Amino acid sequence: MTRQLRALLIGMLGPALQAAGVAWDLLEHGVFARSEIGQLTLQHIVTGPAHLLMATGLALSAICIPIALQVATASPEELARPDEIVSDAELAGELRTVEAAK
Amino acid sequence: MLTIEVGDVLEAAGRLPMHGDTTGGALPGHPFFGAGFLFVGSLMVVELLAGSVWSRAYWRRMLWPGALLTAGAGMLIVSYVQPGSKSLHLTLAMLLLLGGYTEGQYRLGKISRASADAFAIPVLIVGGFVIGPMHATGNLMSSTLAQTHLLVGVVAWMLAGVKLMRVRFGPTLALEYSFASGVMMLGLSLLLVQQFHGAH
Repeated sequence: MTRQLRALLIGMLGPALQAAGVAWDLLEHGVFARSEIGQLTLQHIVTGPAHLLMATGLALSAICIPIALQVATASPEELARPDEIVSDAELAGELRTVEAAK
Repeated sequence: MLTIEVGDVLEAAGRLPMHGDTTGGALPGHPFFGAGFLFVGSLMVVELLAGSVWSRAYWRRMLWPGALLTAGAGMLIVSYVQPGSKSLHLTLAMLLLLGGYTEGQYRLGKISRASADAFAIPVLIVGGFVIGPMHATGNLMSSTLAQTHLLVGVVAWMLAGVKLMRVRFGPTLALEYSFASGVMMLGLSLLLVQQFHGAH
């Protein structure tokens, strides 16, 4: 996966959650429970799943945008996870052993 | 130009009626735990995408155990505040706190992944039973609330399954993504529970 694609996915995760929250809220109040729109309670505003989904997406965007920028400017070595590097090295070592045995 | 006074907004919010529902007036726990797990699961996906860039900050590396410990402390508060299901909430709190401790020990390099998983897998299975079949009140065939509670339990068992596959086949990127997405799903399933809790 290219670093641009990684950065894009990281940056878009929060907005995607917010969009899902908006869709959930529109479905709830626009389709499934249209009559309840006039009877909103404070508890519904604070604990409504769609609202919390939007809030989660917003918080995620705030944290992830700097990380997306760091990823976009990182080298390929930095983007590999430490265990991936270890397993790649192990794999290379095993291949060398097989080739030496031939 | 539209201007919104913060005081007016707070006053308007204060005028809204509070809902008396199944939690005896206290705020329900499911949506906040759901949002928390969704948040942390999303960050676990970001951790996998970001590679070593994620580990540049120490707090990011300790996020997962920290989240589990915070969830455990939150569950302790829930078991104290909410009048019903105290023993179930207390059991979940203990499982979350112990899970957070072992994950923290692993991330600090004090125990191996296998040791942490040896604890995490039974905890996820037991936790799935506690939050699923044991916590689901009502008829499983007809009550949506009971079914959504069961869904949370099933997701916890799925997470245990992913961990078991990790033990069997070793760490792969696909399994890591599956676990992170599973934690996101756990959060979404808890939000679904709230949707059908009858609080609005």
